[in-house]
Amino acid sequence: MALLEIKDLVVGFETPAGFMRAVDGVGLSIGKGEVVGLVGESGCGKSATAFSILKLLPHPTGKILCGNIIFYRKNTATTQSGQAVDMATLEEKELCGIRGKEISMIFQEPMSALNPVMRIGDQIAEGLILHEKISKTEALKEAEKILLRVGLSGARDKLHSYPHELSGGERQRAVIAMALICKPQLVIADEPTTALDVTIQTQILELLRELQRETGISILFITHDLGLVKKFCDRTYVMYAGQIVESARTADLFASPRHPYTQALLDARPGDAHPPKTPLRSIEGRLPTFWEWEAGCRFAPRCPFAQGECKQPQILEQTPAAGVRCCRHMELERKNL
Amino acid sequence: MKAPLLDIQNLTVAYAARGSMLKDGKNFRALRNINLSLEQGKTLGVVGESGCGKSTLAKAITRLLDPVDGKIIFDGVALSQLTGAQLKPYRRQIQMVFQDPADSLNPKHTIATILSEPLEIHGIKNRPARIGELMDLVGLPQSYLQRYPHELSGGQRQRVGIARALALEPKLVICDEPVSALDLSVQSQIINLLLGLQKTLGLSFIFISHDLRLVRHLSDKIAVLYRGELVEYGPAEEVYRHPKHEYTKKLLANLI
Repeated sequence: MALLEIKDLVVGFETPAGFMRAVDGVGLSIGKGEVVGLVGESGCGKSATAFSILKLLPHPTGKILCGNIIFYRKNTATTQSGQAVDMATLEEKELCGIRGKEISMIFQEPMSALNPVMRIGDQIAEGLILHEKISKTEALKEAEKILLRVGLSGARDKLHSYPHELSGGERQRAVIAMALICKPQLVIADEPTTALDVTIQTQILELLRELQRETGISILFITHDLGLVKKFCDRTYVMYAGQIVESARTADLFASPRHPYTQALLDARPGDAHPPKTPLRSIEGRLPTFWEWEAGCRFAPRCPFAQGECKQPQILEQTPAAGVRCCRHMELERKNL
Repeated sequence: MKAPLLDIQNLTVAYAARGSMLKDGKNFRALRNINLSLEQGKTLGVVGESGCGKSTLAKAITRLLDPVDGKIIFDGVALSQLTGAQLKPYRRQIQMVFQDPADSLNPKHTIATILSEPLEIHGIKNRPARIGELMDLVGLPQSYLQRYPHELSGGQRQRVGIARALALEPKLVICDEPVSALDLSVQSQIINLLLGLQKTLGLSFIFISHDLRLVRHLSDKIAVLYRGELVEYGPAEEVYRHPKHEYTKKLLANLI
């Protein structure tokens, strides 16, 4: 059952050089209890998509131009379970009731996501006090419980710490606690481990996965790192130049990538079998900016398989489980390239 | 056997401690008793997590930091004993490529100016010709010479960073996380460029990275640093396939 459905989302930004589209007709869905990855390189529109869900786009330069972001709410005093709302058109007042309570966010850089002059406990309890109308003492008790749950040793003392007194890993644990304290249905994690060392990164991902299994929440995981997606996500969407170019169950995506861009990304990292000191398969050229987007396939200028037909706009061919935006994918799959 | 190009013996580097706890004249020793060597034309990979001393090592070799103990022998000369003007000829021979080309290129200078600066400092004649060669070497069109860094993409900027490092025909280039700020599809281009340059110019590299898989791909030998100490050091394949130290095993287990 779907929890969130994004349809034909178009997002743009006002820039000194003119109006720029960042997201160009993105559709994606997240089921209940599902962990969905959204991968792509810088400027592909993955973060703009994620920020649109909670309408956290920079004001006033960022705008949702069209599309729907349908979210199925949980049962509360004012809403019925499963009531569908469109986040794209929702009033600010109603949005505030959803932000942090039903959909929350984990940001990339824990140091900038935390208020440096506020104690950890107060920051975590803040959301609960805001949404649940409970006393501060009670909220702090809950904060301590959740800090214990996210594996912060000495949780009681840490409640009174300031962010700078914590290590990078501890700070990210605190940010996760903040995101989970109101028991949301969906957590959007925007590169939650990019700023961390590799050994800490694994710990944080394992923690998130464990909490996800325990509570049955859904996670939208935004990253540029295909390796993380492989380890963490049930289903994955790959973005390039504002569009979804491929979607599939993660295992299928890695076993048999269908879009040339996905294939190239997977090959760009040296694998265990790759002979050392030999050239890697590289993707020529660079990421196109909005002004360089092609009318046809946007990856075509860098694609080794591009032909005349690639000059036509490409359609995302979809089945319920997967999708691919490449007119040559059938032929290329047959040739097993 | 030929003497190694770079021989580091018992290197210890310390920072003056500012914190109150260490006020009694004690320093923070960021590197302790490091022994490493690198042959001409080979690559030494240095891995470790933040704070392990990888960048301190680069700064010590380039003498941006003075070691408190130990020797750095480059091409048969003890660099750690030289001062000021004596060092200048060696500064040419050891160059650096930095992590973020957006930060390490002067935004107010054109690419031509950026590339000609090291040539001017070392009094090299016929600069335009050399700059043209450098652009060819790193695969950038000559027309980019009049551009500014912000007009280039990340990958192109890193090519300029590499061209600048090569301007003075160094023997050793220290690359400190040269691709970690770049997008994946561009990373492999830069890696391939570095591999090609090593072959054609016979360069020696020190490749510093947190990415063990990338380090293994590029290196002949790997050094693993942990909290300022060298915990493992050996041929790249050996370290990657049969790690001995617990920390290296942990790094490998966390490879994604």
